[in-house]
Amino acid sequence: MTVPAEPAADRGPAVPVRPAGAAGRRRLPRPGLLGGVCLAVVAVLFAAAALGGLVFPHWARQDLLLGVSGPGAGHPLGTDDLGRDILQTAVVGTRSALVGPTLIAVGSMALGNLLGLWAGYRGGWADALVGRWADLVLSLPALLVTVVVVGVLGGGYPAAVLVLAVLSSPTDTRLVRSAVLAQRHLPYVEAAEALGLSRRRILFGHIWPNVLPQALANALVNFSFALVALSSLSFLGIGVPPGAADWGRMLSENQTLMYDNPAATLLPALLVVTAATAVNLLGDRAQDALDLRARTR
Amino acid sequence: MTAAAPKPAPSRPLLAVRALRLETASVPPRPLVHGLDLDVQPGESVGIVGESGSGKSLTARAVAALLPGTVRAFGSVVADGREIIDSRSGRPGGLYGRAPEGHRGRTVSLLMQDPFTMLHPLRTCGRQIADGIRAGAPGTSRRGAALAVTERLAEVGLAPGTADRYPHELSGGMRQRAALAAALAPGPRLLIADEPTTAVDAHHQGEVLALIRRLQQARGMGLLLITHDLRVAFSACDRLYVMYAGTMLESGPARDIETHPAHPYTAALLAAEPSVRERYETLPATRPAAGPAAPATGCPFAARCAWAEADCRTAEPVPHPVGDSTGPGGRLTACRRMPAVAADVAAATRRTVAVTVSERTARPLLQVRGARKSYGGHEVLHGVDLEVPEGGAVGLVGESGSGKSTLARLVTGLEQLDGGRIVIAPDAAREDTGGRDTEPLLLAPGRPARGSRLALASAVQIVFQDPYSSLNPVHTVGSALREAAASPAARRRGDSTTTPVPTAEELLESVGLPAAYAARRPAALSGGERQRVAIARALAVRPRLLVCDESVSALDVSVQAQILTLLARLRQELGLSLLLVTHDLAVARQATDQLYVMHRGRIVERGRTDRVLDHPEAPYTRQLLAALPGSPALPGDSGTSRRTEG
Repeated sequence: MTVPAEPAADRGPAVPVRPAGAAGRRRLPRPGLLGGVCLAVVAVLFAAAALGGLVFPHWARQDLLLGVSGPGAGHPLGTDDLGRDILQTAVVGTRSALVGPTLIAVGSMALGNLLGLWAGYRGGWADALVGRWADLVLSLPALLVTVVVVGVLGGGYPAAVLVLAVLSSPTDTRLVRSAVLAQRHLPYVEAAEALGLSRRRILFGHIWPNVLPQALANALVNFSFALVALSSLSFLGIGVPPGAADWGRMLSENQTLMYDNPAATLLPALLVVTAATAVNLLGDRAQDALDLRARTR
Repeated sequence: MTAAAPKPAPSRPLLAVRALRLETASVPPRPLVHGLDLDVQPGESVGIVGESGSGKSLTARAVAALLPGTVRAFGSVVADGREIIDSRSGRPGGLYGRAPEGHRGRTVSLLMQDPFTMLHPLRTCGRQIADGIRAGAPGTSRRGAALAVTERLAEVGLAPGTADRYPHELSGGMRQRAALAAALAPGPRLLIADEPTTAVDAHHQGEVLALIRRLQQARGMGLLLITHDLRVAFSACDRLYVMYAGTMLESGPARDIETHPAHPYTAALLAAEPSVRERYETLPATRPAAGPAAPATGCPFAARCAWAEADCRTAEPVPHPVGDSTGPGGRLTACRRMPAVAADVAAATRRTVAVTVSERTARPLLQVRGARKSYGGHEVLHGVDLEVPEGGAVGLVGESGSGKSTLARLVTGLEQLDGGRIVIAPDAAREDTGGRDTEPLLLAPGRPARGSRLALASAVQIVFQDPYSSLNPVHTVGSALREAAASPAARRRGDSTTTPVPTAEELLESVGLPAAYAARRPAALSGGERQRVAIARALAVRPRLLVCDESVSALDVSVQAQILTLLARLRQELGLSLLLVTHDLAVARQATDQLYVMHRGRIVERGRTDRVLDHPEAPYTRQLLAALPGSPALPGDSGTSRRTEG
């Protein structure tokens, strides 16, 4: 039973008379310095993923006579033991570094959101079933399972992406479920029920948009997790085929070149860390921005 | 402004606020409180009355040196002879923005609105009171503190055993008593009570207030009471300050303000206040605040004031004495037109008592018979009967936990019956057409079929209490209304009638909002505007019965008056029936013809609203009436009814 609340507008900081006139118009908050840097990094990385192959179509050209070499003319960051240009390889490798995590984040978000919405809204046995499923999957060590599944059953990169998408979905599921529970009994949902709206309309038209900021932020966290995980798999020689441009593979293949051309290993390592960090920080800010959009006076 | 302030009495004031200015720490700063002067003498009870956004709570926080970091303070606040605002930093005085030693506790103590969040949930009440006692008298022994705790508890009327209990083990009223004991434990010279009764059940409001008043007098302590409720302020305070949009508009003895308001705003507030004793033709509401926030110059109320002239919008309001009252405790008003327009204002805000409503013989639209409902094996409705006549307005009153909201939700189909039945009469307007709704709709225990649910949804719609969560924050007002107008419930209703689907603009207009609001999101609307949108959304279905579940209780009085007036107009224009669920007897008096009083899941009294409230029969109804702030023991046995104009 509801207790009569205080006059409503007293909740926020005191606002003279009523919300100001810029009312209604959406204002996205400025991302701030760090947010701006993250945004720029992510934009550059995705541009590299999209255009890298076009800009450097001959990245795989070998120069066995040259072999490994340090930074110099023609090769700003040197070459690996096959004489391939490190910078070009890394730029072209952005695609495999980003496509997989994107698929994993989107797939895990789709699966997790569907299950979470259903469990949170339906409650009862559906909630119990989904909850146990999430517990089960969460208790599995994701990387180990992927190594075993892909290593034993084969399937390469696509299989690794699929397995990781399923394995990272429980965090989405749990997050969305609890967010739905918080919205479930708010008057706006009950008002929608009182209008006889369909369950699908209430779930996807009303509740989901309000859960989306958290879901999106979590998807970005999943993205950076997947980026690291896929790079680790490549490092272990699972997933990406030999000879492909990939940061993880560069790391594992070039680790012996540490003294001849440190850039050959440091560049991909730095890229993995930078990309994961930038996306992670962006996730935080995206949530704040989306939350604010709805609550901006 | 300082010049116009009343000179302090010979005795040094306990609290002297001079030209207090609060603004946000943002760039550019947004003003929150403009140059406020305020005094509290030792042993005096002073109230700050204002609606949401008036700056009253921030003022209280400034006095307690508890301003949030996002607010900067300028001017002077002297409490018990010590300055607590550092004008240079705009923070409470002293190093690192700390209040002077002992300021909070021994000098001032704060009693908050919500006793559940004010008390620590994981510590017993006794320990929390003991903390306060040690703050007031450091070095108190454990045994001494324990004795003092018992004393403090006795003072607020709680048994010694309460010391060992946790806040969640206490009822709302007891919790607020415990919070009061904790606030008083350090022996403060000034108690700041911020909306101390708002979160307390109506049933206990009167007694909590009386207790605060009694302890204040017994201890000779100063009291600064912050409230939005005029009834509370009049019953507990000697002197009042009326604030609006960060500006003090009027001050003076409570009695004088009650009888002769010296500012159009105060007069409008008084007129908007519903009375439990009389029903008025209308509650003369001020025009809603329109357009952007208060202008930077001139009187903040000018935009809503019927007597504003061009000068009001440019000249800063300066408090000046009213009539011949001077000196401390004198009347001040910030209305520059005041002596001149006083008679006009009084005439315009006079209310006429409504002629007694004729007995309705309309057939019942809604019949509830023996409704039962349990949650987790605990029955909250024990066989309730209720009827709403076609076109009638029925009130359902009771304290929280009485089951009144459960009944409202059953009627709306948000909950399912466990026993009994609900019958919605066939729609008389359609009986000739032979179409739908010519048979009565019967709801029995268990989940009804989708057809019945839709039939119910098309006949009954609900408006909730909290205007902030009843609209989806991500949808624009227009899309919410269009969705409602195209909802299954509305379509079902529309099938057999030829009236076109109302547009969002038409719906907005019907609740008195500009069509341009369709493009806004709820966050850009005030509480009252949101509640209008929620009503418009319910009306989109063209229901026959509108259930208002505490729909006006979260609103400011002036906004509440506007919504009540709107509901009355809609009833008349659309032939709508109304089921008004409320804890507020005065609201029920203004807006309903029939009244049901509910207590612990049972109807304890029913009848015509005026008869029930004037001549209550059930002991519980008498209790409710007696619990009203400032009410005499029982209505009818004294002639002290407030503002009996017309």
